[in-house]
Amino acid sequence: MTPERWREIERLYHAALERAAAERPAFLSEACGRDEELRREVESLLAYHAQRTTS
Amino acid sequence: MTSGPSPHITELLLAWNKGDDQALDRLMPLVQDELHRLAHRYIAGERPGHPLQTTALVNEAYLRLIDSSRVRWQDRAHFFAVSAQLMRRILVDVARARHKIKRGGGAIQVALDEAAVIAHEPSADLVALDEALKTLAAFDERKSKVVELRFFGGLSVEETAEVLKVSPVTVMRDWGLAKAWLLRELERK
Repeated sequence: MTPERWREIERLYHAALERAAAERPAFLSEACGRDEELRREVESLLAYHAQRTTS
Repeated sequence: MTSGPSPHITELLLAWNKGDDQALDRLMPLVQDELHRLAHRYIAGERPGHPLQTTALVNEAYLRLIDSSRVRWQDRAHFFAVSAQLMRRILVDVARARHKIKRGGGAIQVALDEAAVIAHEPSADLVALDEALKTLAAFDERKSKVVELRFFGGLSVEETAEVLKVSPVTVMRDWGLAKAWLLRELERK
């Protein structure tokens, strides 16, 4: 992982968290464009965030 | 061996926080000795199923070494920051030595929920946690530091912000993302 790539993931992670859960898929689709890996990375981190906060 | 808070060690902490770097050079070995002693005492009396509470050891060192009536909260935070770094190193050294002897059978389990690092996991292998933190530090040094301070030192959000010279909001955001990343990383192993 490069610091630049990580900064991008971090930015999208926080931006997604500011949105309602239902709006996140559309937001990430738009923000990540064709970069599927970026989208998967952010979604997986969001899933771990959700796992922690819903228990 | 110390008995009760030491005026000398308290002086060193205060001098360092006023900008005297030589005071830190003299303070570190004293804190290290105490943490080392406490860690080994813990290891000797270790019971299966009772994961290590890292911050309890650091807190005990603080109470033993520092006269808390003479220090500000900022001084306390900096003491805990130094201790967190030393504690991590001491414990990982112990855990690695034990891995060699027992071929992986004697992993030290650390309690991850005391600082709410990972709510679902009651404990994790200390060596795996250390490795994950090193990986994280390679692309985000500050987040690795936030976890070290909070997890190994038990620093609050405010104290962590003071030590890293960032806002409490930044610490909370870093902490949240670092926890999600670490949980995922530890599960992949």
